[in-house]
Formats: sequence, C-alpha cells, structure tokens
Amino acid sequence: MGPEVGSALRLSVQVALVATVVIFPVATVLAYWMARHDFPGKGLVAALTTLPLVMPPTAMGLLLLRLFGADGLLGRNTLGFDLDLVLTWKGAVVAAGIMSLPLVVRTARVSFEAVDPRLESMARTLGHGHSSTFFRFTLPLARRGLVAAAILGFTRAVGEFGAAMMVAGNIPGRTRTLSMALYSAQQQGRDVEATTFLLIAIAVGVVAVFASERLADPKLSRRGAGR
Amino acid sequence: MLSSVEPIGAMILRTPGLCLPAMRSAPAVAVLTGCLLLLGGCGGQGDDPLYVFAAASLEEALTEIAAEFELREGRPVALNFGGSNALAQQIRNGAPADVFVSADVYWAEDLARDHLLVASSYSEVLANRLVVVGHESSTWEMSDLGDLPALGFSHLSLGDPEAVPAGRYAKILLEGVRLANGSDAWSAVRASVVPAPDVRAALALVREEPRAIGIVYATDYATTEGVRLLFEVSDSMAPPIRYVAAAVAASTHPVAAARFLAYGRSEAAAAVYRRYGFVPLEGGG
Repeated sequence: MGPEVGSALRLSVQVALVATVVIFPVATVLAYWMARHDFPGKGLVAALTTLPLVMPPTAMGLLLLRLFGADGLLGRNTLGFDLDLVLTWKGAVVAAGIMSLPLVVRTARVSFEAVDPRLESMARTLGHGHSSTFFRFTLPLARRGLVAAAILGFTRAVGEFGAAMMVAGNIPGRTRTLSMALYSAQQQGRDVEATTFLLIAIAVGVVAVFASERLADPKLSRRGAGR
Repeated sequence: MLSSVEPIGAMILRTPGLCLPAMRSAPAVAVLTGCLLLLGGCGGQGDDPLYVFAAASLEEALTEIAAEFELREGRPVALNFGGSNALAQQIRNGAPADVFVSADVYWAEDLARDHLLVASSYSEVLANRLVVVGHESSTWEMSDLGDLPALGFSHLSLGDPEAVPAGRYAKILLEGVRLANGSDAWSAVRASVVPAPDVRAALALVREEPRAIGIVYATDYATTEGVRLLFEVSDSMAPPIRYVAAAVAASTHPVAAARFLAYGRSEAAAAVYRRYGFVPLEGGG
C-alpha cells in the first residue's frame, strides 16, 4: 500500500470516528424523543433530521460552506472568532456527521420503538425515575439496534464525499479521505490505487452491513450469541 | 435503440454486488427492465446526439458554438464538461464520446497513445493564459510571481496539479519561479494547495473563501464575478497552454464528428472563442 492509501485510511477513520462520537448522543436523544413522545413540531423535527438523506450532498455542502464561510451566520466575521471548519478536517467531520445523522436517528428510533413501553411502565412502578428507567432498562434493551445505528452512521461518515468535498476540500494528507482518494486516483488515471481504494470501500461496506443486519435481526443475533 | 441500452446494461453487469440481491425478486426485475426500456426509448427518439466531451473552461464558448452548429447542421449536440483528465478517463472506459477537446496536450496524447483518438483529426486549436485571482474583497498586491508565496493567503486553489490541466500548468509555472532563498515558488506554496476537480471548481473556491488565492485561466476570470485579478501571467513565463481537439476513435458518428471539428475551426467559431478571450490558433487543422 502506498503512503496515500495509509493516510487516506487513517483520515477516514479519524473523521468518521469523531463524527460518530459527536452525532451519536444527539441522534439517540432525538430518536428516543420521537419514538416515545408526541410533541408539537414533531413532524418538523423528523423532516429536518431526514433532510440530509434526501438532499443532494453538494447542496448540503454548499449550505454548510455558506454557513461557515467568512460572512456566514457562523462565519468568523459574524462570530468574531474562527470555527476553522472551511478546508479543514474538522469541516469534514461536520459534513460527515450531518450527512450520517438521518441514518443514525432512523435506526435508533426503530430500535427504541421495538422496546415494549410496558416494560418501561413496570420499571417506573418499581420506583425508577425517568432517567433511571432510560439508562437501566430502555437503553440496554435497545442496545443492539443502537450499535447497528452507530455502525451504519460510522460507515456513512467514511463514505461521505459531496458535502465534505465542498466544505473541507480534497487536500492530500489533510482532508483527502478514502472516498476522495478513490476519486482523485481515478481522475489522475492511477488505476492500481483506484482499485485498491475500491476494494477497501467494498470491504468496509460489506462488514458494516453484515454487522448491522446481524445486530438488528433478533433471530440471527440470538443464534450468534449461543455459539 | 438497442445500442443505447447496452452501456447501461453493461454498467449494471459490471456491478454484480449491486444488482444481484435485487434480482432475486421478480418485481425488482420488472422495475429494472422497465427502467431500461424507458431509457432505451428515450435514446431512440430522433437523431442520436453528437457527444462532445470538452474541458470545463470551454463551457460558455462551446455551448454557444454547439448551438450554432445544431442550427446549421440540424444535428443535436450533447456537451459533457469536466476536467480534461476526468473526460479522458471516461473515454478510456468506453463512454460514448464522439469529439474530445482537452485543455492540454498531455491528456489528448494519453488517449492518442492507445489509439483511442483519430490521429488525422488531432490538432491544437486554442491558446489560453493563466491569471492569479483573489476574492473581490481581498487587498493583496503583487507585481511578480515571486511575490506569491509571501502574500499570506490561507489556501492556493488550483485544478488538481497532478491531473487537471489548469493545475498542471500552474504547477509547471511555479516550479520555474526562483525565489530569493534559492527554492522555487512551487515548493513554497505546495502545502497550501487545495486541488479541485476542474478549473471552475478551483475558481468557485476563491469566490467562497476570501483568504484563498487561485490560479485559473484568463477566460475563467473573464466570465466570473466576485473575484479580483491579482496578476496576469505573460506567455513568456508560462508553459504554452494549448487546447487539443480530436475525434474519438470509437465514435459511431465519424462524419458528424469531423464536421463538428471543422466548424470549430471556422471563422464563426473563432469569433466566439475570441469574444471569450481564447486565442484560436492559425492553421489549427
């Protein structure tokens, strides 16, 4: 493997890991909230968290670029200090995190909805408060789905291209992640590297999908646990 | 009709991992077949367009020229713009191109070496120049390319210097600039380079990021608002910037491709190119 393969892999893992760690608690709270409660504007929250899934990634990228650009709402001329997100790996984290948010929220929401609410009622009648019920019963019961959500979110973050390209650019060694390195290798006519990245991408995808399917399917996971 | 279905079918066949799971269910097969027929049907309507793959910097000029060609010849032209490197990779992978207009000799020769272009149709057709540009709000001043590394910009926005012609030209240009400390200007700025997929993307970054500086073609600068000219690179400093046009060997419309190339060398087309700042080359053909 060439040095570029190593640096792109390292950067992809770094960006996707940070994005997942930052996004996951937010997504979990949102997912639980939407799975268990009806509140005014729930439809709007659901729509907003789904938006990155259905919007063109380049549109999301431009939105973020305008937001974080010098004169944007969160730009240095408006805030008075620099968030340092344009053309940096931190910008890639923001892009990857926002693009993977819908996938994490949706998967987490389904796993919360699969937890029988009567179990939570029982826990409360046994004297557990809201947070105690959540952390000691709901969360452990939903953990498989939540791990699946994190894996899918992480993988989506690894694959992020369009939005990250606009916000963070494709700078070798700094913001050139796996998907961008693949793109650049193909564009430069370096077929061997491009194929290497392609195989890595397929491997990452296959492992993630298998792992998350296994975690999400109760039959499969029980059988797996029994071995 | 079948011929236009083929590339799509081939594409799907080349990605077995994507299509096999879907193939298991009959409805999915039906939907897929329906889509293919629909796409095939669209391709079969009227004349097949002439596919012209052209450097991103030619977008406005060539769109105008192709529209005139369509009016005169009654043949639809489909334009595909991008970095010449990306277009060359597409042609190499069997994209249905009829004409290729590359912003440099490098990518045209890359295809010509493998006999993917019609050798007799190959000619240098246009010249262009490089300019250094900044955001319209920027206050940088430079009188010489040697001033560039010390300007204090955050990023240097170029077409990918390893592939995109505009970036390759810029790299060669800066490699030839000696600084007072004995090193060359490229070594001094390369850490701040942001490689873009084509020259227009490089220019777009300069419009969005006030601390970035870009090196693009003079013609790109002329058609874009929001950027300020910092320095014009004279022909004597720069590597010669030559656009090459050629018919693609695998083209199924060789006659129409030849007519399009001929029209591109006409006085009418040259007038359009000049209006956008390109220099049509005499005897280019």
